[in-house]
Amino acid sequence: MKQTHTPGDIADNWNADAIYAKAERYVQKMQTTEVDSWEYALWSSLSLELLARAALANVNPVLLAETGKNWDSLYQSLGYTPKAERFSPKSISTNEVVSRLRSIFEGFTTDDEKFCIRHTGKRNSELHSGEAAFEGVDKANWQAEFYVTCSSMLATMDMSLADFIGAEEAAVAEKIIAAWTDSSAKAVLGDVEAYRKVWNDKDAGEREGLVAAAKAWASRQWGHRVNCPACTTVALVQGEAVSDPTQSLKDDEITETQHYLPNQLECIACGLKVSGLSKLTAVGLADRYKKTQVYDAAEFYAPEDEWGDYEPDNNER
Amino acid sequence: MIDRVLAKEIRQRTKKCGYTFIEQFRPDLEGIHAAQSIGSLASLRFGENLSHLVPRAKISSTPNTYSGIYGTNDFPFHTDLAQWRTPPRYLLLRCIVGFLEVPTLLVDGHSLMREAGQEIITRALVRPRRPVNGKVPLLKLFQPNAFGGVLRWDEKFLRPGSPIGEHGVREFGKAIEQCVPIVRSLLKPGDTLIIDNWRMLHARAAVPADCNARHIERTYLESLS
Repeated sequence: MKQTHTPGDIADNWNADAIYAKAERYVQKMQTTEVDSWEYALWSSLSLELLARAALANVNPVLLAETGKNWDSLYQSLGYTPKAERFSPKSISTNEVVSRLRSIFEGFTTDDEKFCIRHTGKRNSELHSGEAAFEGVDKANWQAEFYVTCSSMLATMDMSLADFIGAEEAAVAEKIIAAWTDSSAKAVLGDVEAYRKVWNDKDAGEREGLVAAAKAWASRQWGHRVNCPACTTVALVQGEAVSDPTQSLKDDEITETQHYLPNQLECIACGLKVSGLSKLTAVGLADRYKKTQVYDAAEFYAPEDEWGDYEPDNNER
Repeated sequence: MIDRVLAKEIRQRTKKCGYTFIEQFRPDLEGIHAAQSIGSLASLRFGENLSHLVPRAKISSTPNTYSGIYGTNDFPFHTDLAQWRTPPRYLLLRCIVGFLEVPTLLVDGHSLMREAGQEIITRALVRPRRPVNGKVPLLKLFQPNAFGGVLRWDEKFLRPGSPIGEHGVREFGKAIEQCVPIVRSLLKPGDTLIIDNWRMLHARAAVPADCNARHIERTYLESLS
């Protein structure tokens, strides 16, 4: 068998190098503006979206193509020329881009994803509404996260922040990130301390009741059980899968294990909630955990049964 | 095909120096066959792979060519088809009629990059002076890739595409002005110069009136045997 219809070069709208070059152009434009200005933030958001798209296209350009209504964009992203009249390539939304990056790359965290959605959301408001979304926004509220997220994306392409914004600016960025991490950690530790104080002020009877309720709650919920950093009661950590599931068969039972990286903690006893890997790192609960599920082998491999809730078909009854 | 020893020597030398010169290589062969014996021909988007390079006066050429811009004066240092996202990897120049007075000049782009500032050149964006296939692609002066990277340079066909692009083009231009070129004359029939077009810049000296019979064959290769 021989392939008779061979693809050509990948068009620039799907080409990772081309998309990266545009992200680089926008970040260089950002660097020519005042760091406290709305223009600086706007260019950063434009650059961020393109960097995300470059990272995904670098896995495979096909991942960027919109496949909802027809297959022309998918076809073009493979290096072919669609025959459709007035063809205009369509790509997936930015939210979908970052969701895919999070699923593919362990180093691209839920925090990165959330920041992208927030920052590009502001960009949408800036460009498509009367709202001056970036006007007066303090750079302290986004700049460190911008650099952290860019670093995560660049790492997927075996690149560093210095490659993207230059060594001098990258050194400044590292300091900004360190300061932000430190203040973020202090903030969450402050929250923990406040919850601990409220917990300790409760009378013993109330605490006992809450501990019992928390134990019962935790046993019924999915999640990784840990001790709450404020009240030490059993709490639950939820996370994102960061490895492929592996199955092993023993005595007609399939054991499936998968590694997760935490992204939120909830304690129903004292009410503490911590969201984001960086904050969980500050309270010492950022370790990966392993989720194990056991299935009956027959159940695991059985074909899906549309009428599974009924007894087996029996036309005699 | 050339023998294994010569093929290996060409590969190693080109990797080390960025170019290989072979004196009077198989002058009996047709140009395209000589090129095919050294490597795999690159697939080009237009025209034939083999071109006949002969001096042309400005007036008798078109402004989309170096002859149309520079005539028989010096051609400046450049990499071939720098305006393409992926220019051909190797360039093969083969002498049909040569003159000592019209040498080919070479300079190692990696040295120029170091001189101009590696970081700036890697971040410098450029764009073709005119659309390529109806689009204006953004390109990097140095695009890292799995093979080390693609360095592109053309002072006529490329324009800066970003603030660092302006800076990079300026610094790279200065590095070229200060460089000491390697001089290679294609003199005898079959004299062959294989150039790594992702690394080396090349230029042609001016053509005096009595050297108008100069005739060089050029082919592009995507890999060496």
